Amino acid sequence: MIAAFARLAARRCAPPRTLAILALSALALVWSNRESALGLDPAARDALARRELWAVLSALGAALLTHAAASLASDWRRRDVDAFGGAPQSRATVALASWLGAWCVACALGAAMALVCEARPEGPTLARELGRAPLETNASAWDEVRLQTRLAPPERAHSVELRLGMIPLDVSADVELCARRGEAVRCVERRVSASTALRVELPAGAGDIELTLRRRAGGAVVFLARDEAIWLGAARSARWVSALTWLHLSLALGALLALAFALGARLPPVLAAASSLALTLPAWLGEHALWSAASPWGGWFNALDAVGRGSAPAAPGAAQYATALGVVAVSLALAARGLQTWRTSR
Amino acid sequence: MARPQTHAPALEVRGLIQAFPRGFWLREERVLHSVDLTLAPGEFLGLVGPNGSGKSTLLRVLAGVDAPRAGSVLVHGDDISTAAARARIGFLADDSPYPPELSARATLELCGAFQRMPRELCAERARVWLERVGLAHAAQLELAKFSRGMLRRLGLAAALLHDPQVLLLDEPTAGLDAQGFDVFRDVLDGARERGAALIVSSHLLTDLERRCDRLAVMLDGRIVAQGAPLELLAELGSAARVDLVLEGAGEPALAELRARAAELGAVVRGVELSQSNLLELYRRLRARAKP
Repeated sequence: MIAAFARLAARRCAPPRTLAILALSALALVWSNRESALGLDPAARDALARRELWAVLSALGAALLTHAAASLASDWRRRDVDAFGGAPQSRATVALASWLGAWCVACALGAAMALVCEARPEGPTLARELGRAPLETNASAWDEVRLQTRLAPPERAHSVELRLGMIPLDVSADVELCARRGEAVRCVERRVSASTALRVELPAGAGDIELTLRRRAGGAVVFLARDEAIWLGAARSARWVSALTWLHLSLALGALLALAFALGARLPPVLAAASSLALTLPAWLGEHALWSAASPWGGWFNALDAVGRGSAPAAPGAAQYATALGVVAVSLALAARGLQTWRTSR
Repeated sequence: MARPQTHAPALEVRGLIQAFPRGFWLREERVLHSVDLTLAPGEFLGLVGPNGSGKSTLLRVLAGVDAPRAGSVLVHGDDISTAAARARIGFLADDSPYPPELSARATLELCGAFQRMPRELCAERARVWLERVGLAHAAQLELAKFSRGMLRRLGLAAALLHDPQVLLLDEPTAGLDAQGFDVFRDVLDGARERGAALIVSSHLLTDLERRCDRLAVMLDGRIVAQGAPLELLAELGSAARVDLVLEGAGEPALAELRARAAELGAVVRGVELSQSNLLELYRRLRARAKP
């Protein structure tokens, strides 16, 4: 039953109009990327084009799919229950099959997005995120950015990156980021005139890294935009960017669609979809590392962020897999219960 | 479907109560009031009553689609909440709730999958039933393009696909054309021949009174009367009406008949071309149209 009903759910989640909207959007984005960003170096242009494609298509796809997933429950209550509700299959099986169908569509559409992004000659090999380390400081604005901390880098990390924000009380500020390992020191100095990322290579060897960040000159207020350091290593191929982004997107949508389906068993589909998407806002807008590390969709936003900076995102962590699994399990349990009491909410 | 080896009634309903929350404060409103019903294997029960009397609600609970608030429903001795009991039920809902995006064949195969039928058996039964209900030519057509009558025929096929022991049909003839009526009768006869118990609901008494073994009348969520159709009609004082089926009677014969009836003290209230005549007409026209 699961396969047959999952196929029906998949069909309902990907009607021709959804596919047409996504295909037209992809065509428009690919066409506009060819014409814009003249004057940028090829790697930066590549990164921006990739991020734009992924961000627009995945946001559009997420909105359409969450609404479709939320509608699956109302389809069941309104119609399917009369046809299949008396059969020996349990409501939990129905919920599982519906979610599986919706998730398979999400994975397939994500794979199509990856193909669209990578339908060009392979660019230069990029850095790949290896992980993020929370910094023991608040991400508050200081008039003079100061940071001194010790961190243990993961194996194969060749550089570290910090995200900086700026309040333009002056046109710019000169900022220096140094990484010290034993006696070896590597520093990078940059004139900052807008929010940016600052990356420094790690000195060779083993052991902890001492990071120092300070403003050397200029009157602009510079602050740590995210209270985390991003470890970078070498990526095997530039294609990894889309492969890993697809993985994050699939994980995020898996949890999001289960949630939308569960809410759709009790609320009108539009409200259920909007409520599910609203839950992702803290991870999208927030600057707290916990949301990035733990929520099933935190990795998706981090991945888009990494893509825009020209690096491949880190693979989802165990915490993200665990929370995604938890969200799916709880949502499907709620959905099964919601489908059971369909008549009260009709 | 293997036949149950018990001597229990095909369907046994005791003290069935159903209620739905209504209004802003979701106060419970009873729509079924302690319904009791027993159905022997092979028995055909006609369920009649006006719109809103609770026929569809009762059938939905008996089919296991809705859980009752109180009472019990046993199918060959098994509670309706068990998979074994549900597998013995075939249900046709009053609307045609099948996914419009699927073809007729895919819909039947999905119904079979819900009934946990093996895929090959399900495909074979789907083919046979589509032929039997006269939809073989539309097997690959999307249901969105089906007429109401075609959907009812498909519903009959879906309800009978897994060879159920208890068949619950809610307004099965609504929207059926003459050929559909024939199919419906064939299906009913076939189900009775293999010993299935039937409950067929209708708000039209004439649909049922000639074919069913027992008639139950529902009013306001209660079964207010039940018994053999003729006994029930006699009990209610309705036996004085006689339907006379004439063939080839022209206007002079009808005038003579009226006069003779008047001599006997009866009044001819009306003369109408009945549906059975229309059916016969359609059959003949169809036979003539065939090459």
